[in-house]
Amino acid sequence: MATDRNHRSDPLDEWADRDYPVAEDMAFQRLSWIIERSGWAVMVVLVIAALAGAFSSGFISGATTSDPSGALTVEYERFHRTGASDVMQITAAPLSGDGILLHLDAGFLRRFTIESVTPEPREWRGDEDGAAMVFPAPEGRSLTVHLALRPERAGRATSRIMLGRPADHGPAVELAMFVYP
Amino acid sequence: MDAVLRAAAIYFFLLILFRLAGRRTFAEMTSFDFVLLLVIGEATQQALLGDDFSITNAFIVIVALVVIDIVFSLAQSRVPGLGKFFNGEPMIVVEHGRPLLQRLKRARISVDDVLGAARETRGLEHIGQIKFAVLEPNGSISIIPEDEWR
Repeated sequence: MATDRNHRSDPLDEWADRDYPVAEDMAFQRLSWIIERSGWAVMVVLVIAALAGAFSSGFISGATTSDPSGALTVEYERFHRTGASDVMQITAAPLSGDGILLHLDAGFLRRFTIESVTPEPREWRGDEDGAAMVFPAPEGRSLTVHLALRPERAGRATSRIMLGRPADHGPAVELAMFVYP
Repeated sequence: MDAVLRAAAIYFFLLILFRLAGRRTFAEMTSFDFVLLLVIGEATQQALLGDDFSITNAFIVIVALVVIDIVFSLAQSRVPGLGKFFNGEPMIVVEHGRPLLQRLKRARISVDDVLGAARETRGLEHIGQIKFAVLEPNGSISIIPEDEWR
């Protein structure tokens, strides 16, 4: 018995199929181990990607974009998740002395529910391309608006945020975002 | 529609995840494994129900899960390879007192695990008394003693 216990069997024999007491398919078994190990690797990659922010909130996801003139800057998340709140920050300098009008296109409004806007706009104005928030002229040189957003639908979302009415072709930024289900 | 898709997504996600985790992961549950399962269930619940807490939604999700499970088990009995693929097959890990070390290693079981199962199920004392130890698809180890120890 002692010899049996110390016996180190050769791998070739271990990988051979047995029929009794159970019928084995060791080729399949080894394949499923390979799949299992690859699955672990995929899971590790997913966890690292999540830490890096590939699924929202992280350095891959956070982005800042400005229009060429620098009058409009938007800080946003590239990745969102359906139903999970997110924030977006828009900084705008007034074009003329009077108030600031920030226009959000229809694509944006279809994809996101705006839960709150701080500071509150004086009024909302709708048009065929979307809706605009109207703010009184800021105290300082520019106005920073925080939007609390809730993505409603999964998929690619491209939006355009514009300073001034669409007809005026003012400074605008294009946002390319993705909403996970 | 949404509720059914949610149920299907969660069902297949968990199916694949637990297959990849390997059969030994939750086979002999320690109290920690039990808590871990509860936490996984907790995390799943939100995604399963979304923000719809109506009874209708709960009914749809539960019925969808049960239907998927029935369809899946029917498919497994019709398509021979499917059950083998998703459940795995029994594998011999000890034969005639000799541990098959390569197999044990790949399956993440130690000889001590086999001896533990032998003590618990058959009251055996050493590996020489084991004729066959088989790792079952559910992760448990079944022991067939040598004839003189039956």
